[in-house]
Amino acid sequence: MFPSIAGALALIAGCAALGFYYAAQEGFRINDLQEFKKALMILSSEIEHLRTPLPMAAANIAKRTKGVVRDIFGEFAQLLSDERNETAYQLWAQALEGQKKRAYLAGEDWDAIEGFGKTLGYLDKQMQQSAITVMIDYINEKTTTLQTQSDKNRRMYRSLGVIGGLLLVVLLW
Amino acid sequence: MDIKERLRTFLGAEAAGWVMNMSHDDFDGITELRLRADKPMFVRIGGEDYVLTRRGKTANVGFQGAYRPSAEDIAETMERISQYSFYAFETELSHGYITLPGGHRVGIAGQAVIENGVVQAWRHISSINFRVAHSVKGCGDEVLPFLYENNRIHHTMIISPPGAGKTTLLRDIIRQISDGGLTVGLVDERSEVAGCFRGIPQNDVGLRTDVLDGCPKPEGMHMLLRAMAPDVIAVDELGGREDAKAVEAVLTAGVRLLCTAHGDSFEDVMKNPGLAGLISRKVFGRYIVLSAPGAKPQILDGGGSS
Repeated sequence: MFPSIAGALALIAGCAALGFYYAAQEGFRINDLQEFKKALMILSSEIEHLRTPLPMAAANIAKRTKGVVRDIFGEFAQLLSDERNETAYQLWAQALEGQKKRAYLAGEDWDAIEGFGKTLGYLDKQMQQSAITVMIDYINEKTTTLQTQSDKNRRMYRSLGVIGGLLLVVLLW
Repeated sequence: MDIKERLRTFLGAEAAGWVMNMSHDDFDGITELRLRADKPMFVRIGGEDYVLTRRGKTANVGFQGAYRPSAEDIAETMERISQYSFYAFETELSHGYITLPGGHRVGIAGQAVIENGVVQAWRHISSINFRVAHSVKGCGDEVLPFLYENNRIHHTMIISPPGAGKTTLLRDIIRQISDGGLTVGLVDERSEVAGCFRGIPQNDVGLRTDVLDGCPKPEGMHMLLRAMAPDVIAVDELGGREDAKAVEAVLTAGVRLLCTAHGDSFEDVMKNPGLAGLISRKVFGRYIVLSAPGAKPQILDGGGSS
């Protein structure tokens, strides 16, 4: 009898944890987007006030951000400094490739981030700043939508986890 | 890093592939690379123009299989030249050139964006001209003994048309007098003499040389006088009236001046309104005239006589 109760409790706890994990995922995605926004704001400042060349600006961003965003810009800075005969966009795509599985960003986020890379390398200050603003606007809009959804979904996923666990216990009993 | 490897890093992938087909020896004498959209790419070696082939180069400039850079190749090369940072070089680009590490100068042409009558940016760059800087140590040996009198160096002007080697000669003279014991202040407005990268000279300009990199010549000369106590002030491409005013300050401070100016001859420089006053007053004690690439330097005294 005791092992059965213990098993049932473990099943409920497991399902509840799964529900909490899914509920938290959108929050993680928002965190990644916000970190990317921070990187863009640093880049904007480096361009506007210091005219820092891109390899050095990317390295500075890597020092001042964390997680997957730090690793993307760190890798990008390294690739830019390697003196390969490739475009900034090709190097940006390479820097993203290794990080896609690690981040919580969705496919549409990666499309936007990869698209941002197409603006790097050849634009004058004004146009480069415009491209950064467009990307920041995307992040602002996306995080606002996600935050609204997230409040609803968080409750739903948590409840589904707990109820799903209970249902499985009843069915298997 | 040798010239071949350095040039590779500045070119887009396609252009680099063709340029690297040339032999290693070709790069020792290379002075210019010219990329024009949809036109054959020219390489100038030892005063001769060549176009690029799959096997190297040919002097037959009408060769049908020659490399013709596309607009994309030009754009890619601009990305490399600007370290992927077009925005960081707007000031230089508004003057039509960028100086690269090593003192190589890249001139550009294309569609300019004008605001208030001033070039603000470039939308479509269609031509790129690399002028390859060569450090030729010892090229000043022949002229150096003529620049001294009673152990003091003369105010000296090097005169030559573009590409004849005045900057190379200036660099070597600076190196030698600096290593020889004089403190030299160099105003390197276009970063061509010292070839500074992040403020540190990439070319050998001597042990006692202080470099004001990217600084306008008139301001630079005044700053050096005030701050760095030089024995000699060196500047490249003197020309404007503002430059001449700053030279007056150098003369009254007891500091020697070493400079270059564009011109085919002494008479040619006399026609420069900014310099004519200085020359007619015999401010300079020596003129070194380089009439063409590789030509023997002609040494003139303050009156323009050899």
